[in-house]
Amino acid sequence: MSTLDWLVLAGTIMFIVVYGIWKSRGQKDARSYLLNSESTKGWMIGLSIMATQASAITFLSTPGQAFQDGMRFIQFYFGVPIAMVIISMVFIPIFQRLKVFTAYEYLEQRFDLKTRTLAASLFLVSRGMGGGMTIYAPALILSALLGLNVQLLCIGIGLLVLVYTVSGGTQAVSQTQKQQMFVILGGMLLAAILMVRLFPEGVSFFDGIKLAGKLGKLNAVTVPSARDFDFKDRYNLYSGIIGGAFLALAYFGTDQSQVQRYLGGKSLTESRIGLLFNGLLKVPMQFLILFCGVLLYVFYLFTPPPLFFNERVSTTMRAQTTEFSALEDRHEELFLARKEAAAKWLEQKDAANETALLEADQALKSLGKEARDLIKTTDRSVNVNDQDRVFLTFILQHLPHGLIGLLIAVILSAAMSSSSAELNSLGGTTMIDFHKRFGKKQLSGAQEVAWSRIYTVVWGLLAISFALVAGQFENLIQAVNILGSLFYGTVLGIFLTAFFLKRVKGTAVFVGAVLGELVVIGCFVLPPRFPETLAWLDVGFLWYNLFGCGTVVLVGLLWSLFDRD
Amino acid sequence: MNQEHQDEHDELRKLLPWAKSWNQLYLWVLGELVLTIGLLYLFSKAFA
Repeated sequence: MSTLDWLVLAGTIMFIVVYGIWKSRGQKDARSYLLNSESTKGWMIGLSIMATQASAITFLSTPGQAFQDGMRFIQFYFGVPIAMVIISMVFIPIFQRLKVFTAYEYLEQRFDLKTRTLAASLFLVSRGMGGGMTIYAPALILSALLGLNVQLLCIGIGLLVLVYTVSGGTQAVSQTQKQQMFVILGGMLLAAILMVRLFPEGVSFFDGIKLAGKLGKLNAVTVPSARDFDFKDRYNLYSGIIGGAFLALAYFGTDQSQVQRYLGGKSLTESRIGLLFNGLLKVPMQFLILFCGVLLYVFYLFTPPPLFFNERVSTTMRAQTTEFSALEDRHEELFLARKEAAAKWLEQKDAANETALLEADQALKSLGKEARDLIKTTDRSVNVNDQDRVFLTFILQHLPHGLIGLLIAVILSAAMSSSSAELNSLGGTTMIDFHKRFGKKQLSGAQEVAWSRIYTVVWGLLAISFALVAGQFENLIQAVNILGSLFYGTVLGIFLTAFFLKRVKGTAVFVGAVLGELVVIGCFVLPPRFPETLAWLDVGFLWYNLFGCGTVVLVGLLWSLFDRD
Repeated sequence: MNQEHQDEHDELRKLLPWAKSWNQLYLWVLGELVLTIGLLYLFSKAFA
């Protein structure tokens, strides 16, 4: 990082903080503080929805996911357009007609207070922990940059986010999101172009794609046959469309951090256009981000990658054991062999060269696993999953000065914006669904804003605490989605029952929701503890949404059959 | 309720003059999804 990089980075962060504080002026009650009254245009709502979901985690972790596992992660987003259509048709008209402040308010009107409180509580738990992930991701960047402790950085960044979120409210959040989305997409495009330009002479963009395809990185659509179908397979066409649609329906339709985006729309039409805008652009946007990861893989076929993408760990390992240095020497030899095999295959694409290339690639992968095992054996506390650092390493080591600062600033600002939207909705839900609902005193507008700010601070501190342990998860983006899937299915089941099953009453859906949550948590917790007897319960996390939702609907229906009231 | 629908329809036509109805827009979004999946499938097969 040069002085220019630091200037760009510091300037952007300061701008966001000052902008947030400046935007906090003139908010008189919870409605103006928590609902975004200025985001009236449909495309602005759409950008805001996309920006809330696409945080630094998306920017950092998704290319790493493609680098390791190929493009099949894109199938996870196939359900989004389907969900957008359903929410536009069913959810928005009801929320708009009832003029609710949070999605959970509707549940009290439709069912009863306990169901509203349960759904709001599930949101607070899942989003509170998810907020921690959003803070951890940019902390990871700065730790690599400055060589500082990740946990100290989590506390620092979290507090910085809190300052402008608490003072700025939703309005400042969404105004910055709009600009950030353009910069993020521009930044990713620029990074992709630079990766291709950094391919060695004689290797074209299409050569790169051919190599990536041959090495299994372009597996964008995987369609298992009926015989091969496996519920444990996380990303395939079926889990993407069915499980992904349920997850997206729950996230965009019932998660207050998203509902808050379109509830602030001027009209039903603008809110609908915003959601459809997201439905149209989400998959292409994720394609671009994943494709960056694929190009990165091709780039590292010709440029030596580190054995382990965390230099601090590598340095410690070198000092602790000679075995690691020996592995690094072997890694260099194997890299050269793979580079040669790739060049030969590009020259002549015959079976012999193809086999040589695949074997060389596999040898490097095996060595990587050996290195991770060694690290784990040496120090059990080290997180051996380095894929979140792959894109970051490329930015820091191979991009020109100025651009490094800009990309880091983009990542940080996206993270801060996304995190602040989450904290804002957490504070809002606590205020509206708990304090206002259960409080006996009538609050003035200023008191509402003050309490909303206090709750935002409390949630911010909790999110920071969760961020401190976030490094233990295997992949950030995956961890966030698994976390969401533990709760979303149940909440979605409550809402779908509310919309479509008029005969099901409050107690029936409440019992269904409690059982649904138990089923999902059972699927997550039990199979690893009882691998022999409960292996059949071990399913890919996208299916949790379907199981949770299905249990709520079925139990709700059955209960209402026997409930005479 | 009919007046509400009419107002909404007018607003849609004002914002997106080429859109005939909401159903048409929904079909566009779902159609784009099918097309994208198809293209991605061909893309992954072509370079496998």
